[in-house]
Amino acid sequence: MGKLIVSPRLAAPPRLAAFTMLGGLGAGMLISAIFLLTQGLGLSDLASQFLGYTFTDPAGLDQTLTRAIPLTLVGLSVAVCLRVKFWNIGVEGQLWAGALAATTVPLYHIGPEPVHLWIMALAAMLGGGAWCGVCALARLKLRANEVVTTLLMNYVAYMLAQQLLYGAWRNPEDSFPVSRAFSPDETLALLGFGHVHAGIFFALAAALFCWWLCSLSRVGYMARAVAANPLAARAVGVPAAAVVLLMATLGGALSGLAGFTIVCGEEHKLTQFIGNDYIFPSIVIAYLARTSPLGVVVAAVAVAALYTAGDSLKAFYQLPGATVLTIQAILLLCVCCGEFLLRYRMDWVKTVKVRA
Amino acid sequence: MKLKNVAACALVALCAAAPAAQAQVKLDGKPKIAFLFLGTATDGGWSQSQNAARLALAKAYGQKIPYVDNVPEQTAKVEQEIDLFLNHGANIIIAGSYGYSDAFAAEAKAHPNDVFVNMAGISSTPNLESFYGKTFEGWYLAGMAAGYATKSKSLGMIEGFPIPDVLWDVNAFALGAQAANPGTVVHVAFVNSWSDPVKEAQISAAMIQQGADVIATDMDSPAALVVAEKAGKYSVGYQVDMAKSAPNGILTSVEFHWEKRLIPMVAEIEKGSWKSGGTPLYGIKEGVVDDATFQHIPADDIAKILAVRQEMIDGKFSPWTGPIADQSGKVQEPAGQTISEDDLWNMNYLVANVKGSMK
Repeated sequence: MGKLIVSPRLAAPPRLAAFTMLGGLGAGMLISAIFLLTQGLGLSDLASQFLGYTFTDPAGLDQTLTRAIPLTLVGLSVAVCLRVKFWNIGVEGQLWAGALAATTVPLYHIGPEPVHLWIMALAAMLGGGAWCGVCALARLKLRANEVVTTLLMNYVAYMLAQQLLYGAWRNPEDSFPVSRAFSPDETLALLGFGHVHAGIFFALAAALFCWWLCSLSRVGYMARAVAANPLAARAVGVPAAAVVLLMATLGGALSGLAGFTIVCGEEHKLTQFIGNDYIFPSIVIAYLARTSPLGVVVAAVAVAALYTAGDSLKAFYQLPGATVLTIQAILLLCVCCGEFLLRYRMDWVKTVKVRA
Repeated sequence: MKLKNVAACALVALCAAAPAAQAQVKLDGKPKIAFLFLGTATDGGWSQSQNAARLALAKAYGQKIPYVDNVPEQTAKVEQEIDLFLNHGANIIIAGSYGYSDAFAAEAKAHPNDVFVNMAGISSTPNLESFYGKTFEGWYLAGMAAGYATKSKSLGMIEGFPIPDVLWDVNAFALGAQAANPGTVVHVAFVNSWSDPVKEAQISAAMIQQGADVIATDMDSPAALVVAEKAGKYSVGYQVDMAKSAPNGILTSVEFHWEKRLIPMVAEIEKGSWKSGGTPLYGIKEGVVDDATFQHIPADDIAKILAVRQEMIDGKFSPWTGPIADQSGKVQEPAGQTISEDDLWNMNYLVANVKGSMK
């Protein structure tokens, strides 16, 4: 006889960290593949849709990269907040706040015309940052749980956007609930590869900046202290509240910037559904990347590829749109399980009967 | 003299170049069709009428026609779906939504050798045609039926957005009712959506409470008709025959038969003789729009309606012949004159016997 003893590890060896991550992903992909096979897909279909079309086909790659731009930014948003154990479930609201703030610039002619695009980016960051910063303040001052506040702020931003689109910002030409189109100066340039636009530079620059901030800067160091033990951090003189507020506001600003890349890079106007379906992938991406900003870029491209493949599954195999969400959930659960193995060690202990 | 020659040469060159720009689109290989739907393929209205066209095309051409449904009116999403089909070998992309117009124009420019069709769209290029139905013909006849049926002389109509091709529906309905039963008014409400069954049902109930005894829906779902049926009132359906939703009270449905134009169009494309017609309108004559069997009104009245229908087919009657006055009493079309198709696309008023605001 024996029993299983689960005990926390004091330190996880880096090799194990990589192994559990890959193992979790591998197991997730295997389960997803089995799931898709039960939905009537052939093995060759799987290979051609997931590997062939999403990465090797220029058009598929174009879609994947275009999608990855806002996904990278919302992934970074969650990752940066997680660095101080701030659960940001509100990327959609922050994205909307950013998009709304950016849209005010062309609609109300704010600032000189030639630099409108830059003012829009700045406004979007301010809007998104404020949307998340308020929740951080509420946590610090009122002890309001940020999981609840950031989540609820999603609805506030969405309803505000609909109110404006059906009211003051409605397109004057045809009364459609979209803003009037931005002028070419107010849009992000295409880079000559399908729909990929200059927003990709914003996403990459944001990732580099977050990497620098988290890994090299003093703020990043303090954030690690706050995340590990806020009381101890405060005791040794780390301004814990300020660090949480700063990181949460930065996180919101990143989601706001995602809203900017969508309205300026893809839609060229404010439309009705731009903020939909970002919360879940943002958490998946941040988690798959283990909150590493550079890892977020890779995870965002992978999740974007999943969406690209999901589109063709929907179009050619009539699988429902929820298939992609299911696969994301499977991957996330498997990686979480891998995380468990990383944090805890499991030993099979033989019980020895001692004779009296 | 020399300058004149140069000018003449330039003119000749221009004239030679002009037909080239207008030339027929030459597909690479056989037609391979794909559809995008705004709602679900079985929404009981708009997308379902287009799905019927998809199935008819599939039968006519013996090919499986892929589709995606629930594509939002969001440029990036529409372009992604179009690219997906093009990259999998499709060369004719068919959809139907006003809100897809920008995305279709951009994609048509980027892929000049493929053909794009956006029913109810407003954009066109040499390889993009946005045709639509003369829905006003069907609505005028439905308005006559409602006029004959009503006792309270008060009709209700539920609308999506106040854009020209929706305004002409309510105006034609009101003019038809006025012709059949002078003094009839149409109460209109705009939902600001193409499909919002909850709101449609609420508005329908409110209109009935205020005395309307015929409810017409210009929306993608039969929700308003179900309410009218329960209240024992008459109704008019749209897009597909909605008789199943209101068997005891429905007068008719203004139906789309998109395949009547799409099947010959694909044949022309295959032959290489197709040219984009811009934003043409097809009506009862072509069969793209028609009313479902009229019922629940006396046979004499149905005969009068069918007589007007025949005059429309023969080109002897248009609902848009003046005098037509708007709500403020201003004459929009003087007596004896008929509003042209171009002017219809600029319609921005409600006619005199419509009650309600475009806001």
